[in-house]
Amino acid sequence: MKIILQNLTKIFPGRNKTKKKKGEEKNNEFVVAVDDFNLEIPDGKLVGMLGPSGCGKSTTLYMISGLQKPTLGKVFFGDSDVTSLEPENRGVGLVFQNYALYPHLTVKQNILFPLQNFKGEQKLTKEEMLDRAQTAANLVQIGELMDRKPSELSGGQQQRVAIARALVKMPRVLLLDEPLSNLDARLRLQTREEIRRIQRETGITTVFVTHDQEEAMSISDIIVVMKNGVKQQVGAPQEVYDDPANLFVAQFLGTPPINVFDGRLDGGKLFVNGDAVMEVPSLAGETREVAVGIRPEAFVPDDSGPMSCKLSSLEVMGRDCSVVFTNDASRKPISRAIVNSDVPVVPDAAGIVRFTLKPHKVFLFDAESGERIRF
Amino acid sequence: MEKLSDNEVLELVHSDPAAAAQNRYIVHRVNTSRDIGDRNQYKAWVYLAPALILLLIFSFYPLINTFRMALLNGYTSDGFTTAYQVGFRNFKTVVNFVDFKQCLKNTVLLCVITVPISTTLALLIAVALNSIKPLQRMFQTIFFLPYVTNAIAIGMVFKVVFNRVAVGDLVQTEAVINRFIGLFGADPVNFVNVGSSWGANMFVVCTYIVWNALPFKILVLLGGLQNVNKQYYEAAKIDSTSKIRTFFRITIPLVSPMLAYVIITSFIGGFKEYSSIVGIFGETMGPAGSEGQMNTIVGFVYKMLPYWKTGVASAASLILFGIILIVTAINGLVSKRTVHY
Repeated sequence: MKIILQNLTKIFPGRNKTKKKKGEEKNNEFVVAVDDFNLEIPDGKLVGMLGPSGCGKSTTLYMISGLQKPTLGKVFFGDSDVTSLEPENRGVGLVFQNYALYPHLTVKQNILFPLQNFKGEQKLTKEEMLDRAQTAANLVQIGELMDRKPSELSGGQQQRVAIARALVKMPRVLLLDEPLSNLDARLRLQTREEIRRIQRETGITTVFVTHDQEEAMSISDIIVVMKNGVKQQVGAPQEVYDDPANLFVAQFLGTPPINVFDGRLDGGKLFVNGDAVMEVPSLAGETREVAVGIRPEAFVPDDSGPMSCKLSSLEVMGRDCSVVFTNDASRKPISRAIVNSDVPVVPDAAGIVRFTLKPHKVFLFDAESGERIRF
Repeated sequence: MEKLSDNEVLELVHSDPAAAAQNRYIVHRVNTSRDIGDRNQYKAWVYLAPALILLLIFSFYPLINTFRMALLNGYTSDGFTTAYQVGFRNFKTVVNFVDFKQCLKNTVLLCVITVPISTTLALLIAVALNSIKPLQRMFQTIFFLPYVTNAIAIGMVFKVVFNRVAVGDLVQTEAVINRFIGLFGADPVNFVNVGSSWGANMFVVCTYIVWNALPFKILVLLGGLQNVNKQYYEAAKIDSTSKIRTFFRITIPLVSPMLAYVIITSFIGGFKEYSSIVGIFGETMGPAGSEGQMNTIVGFVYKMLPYWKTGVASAASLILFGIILIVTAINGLVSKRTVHY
């Protein structure tokens, strides 16, 4: 099922319970959680909504589910407008962050619960229900746990039950709200593969919300990066990583994070901390301050390279080597480069290392707005 | 150095500490909880003493004395008369009292009728209150008012509300309720006045008890409902669960601990019903002409006291104690199966 979000906006009334202090601006009136959000999610894709907490990604998800009504804008499933449809009539499956498994029911009863709500023609016989519940349980590999209560399950198992419960009614759309946030690191890796597998097997259009960029990048077909309720960029994970629309997206994606420096464009050259680190012939006419984003993998150690930095430490990690250095123009106290450990990184007597930069891993942004400056 | 088993080490330490020490077997005396207990037990008792003394005087002594009194006749607290042992005769007396049977019947009926009605009503009101946002506080206060008003005073108000004084067809006073049912063309009912029937009295008392029991139950159940995670309802909504099914399959199981608590306490309270009837009918425990018609077990106990029949009163209260114990045990067993903690 294709999902289209059209000018979706959600405004929450502000909490004006505390008395306003004198002279304070009246800016607490409303909170714009989602601002004019447009998105088309193709059928059968796994979409990761990514952003820091409070960026409106969960609100968007709940508006797709119908649990929250948009202030403005429309939601389409396929060609039908579902904006005014109650959640019970939308045919979505939702996995809550805390799973919301009914604590008094066994796993089997939990999975059966949505099926028992079917009415009219959809109504199933007991055998059919049990059959479908078992199929859903097997899909998420909890077939043996059917008679346990949720409290007797581990976090990962509960999560699978929640997915099974969402899947059992064959929803048109599957929504997952931070599905991995309650799991430990190892289980998280395993479960995200599982979600990918289940999504592939069922072919259900799936939207999941996360603040973990690695999680989103590793399993999504498409990622949507959000900030303060505004969509920043949409695209395939690699595409967004390689071609960020603005500084926020560039900083949000990638581990280790991108290094940001204050730089200057002058006469077709890019200056960082006084070094002319790169030729930018296409921007020869411009002279301005810029923010320079350099991916850790953009640095190539080179004794005669243009960019000079002060080495802090070397972290050898087998195949790769992490070079931690400082640079006066850096916006963070330390910067980090990932280089191939075959190339030795040898600082000179003053502790300076020099790099050349791979141009396609270097991004320029407006120093104020953070908008990308393409070259 | 050969390796010794734990027991061998212990033996060595006890028999030859020097050798053991040389072999680096040093057994640290570990402060087990028992050791600490030995040393500090008296302290614990000292700390507990004030509470224990008060409990002994005001709870345990009266309770045990009740058992003793039930086996005596002629007992008075001032020792004015000599008490003598009568064995279980007092219990026999109680059971054979015609009055007592009426009291037992009234008490049991009051419980059986009012507990389910008031609990169901309280649950429905609590759910309704929980689902509204505006004015919730105001309604909560209104529903809570009966709880803070005096039972006797309210009983008198009830008597006024249900009042009817008539000689033949000549009506002298017709109160609100009878006027109200008169609107629907029904005949007026003599609820509480001279010559009123047991059934009519029962109706009034039950109405009163249900009304009076609601606030506390609503309060407890509303507290329970507000603790239920809203996501269960959202999950149910996503799965297109009907309102009725949500109520029975989600709401009730999730507030079942509170429901069980409310039911158990209201059964206990119901068996001790007394003040409501005094409020409505006065100490005669019934309308004029048929005194004692609405008496309860606690009323029976009170009635026995002025006649130096403390033995009979004690026996009756012990019988009540037994009944409450059994009912509570049954409640406990039932809730063990149905309550989801």
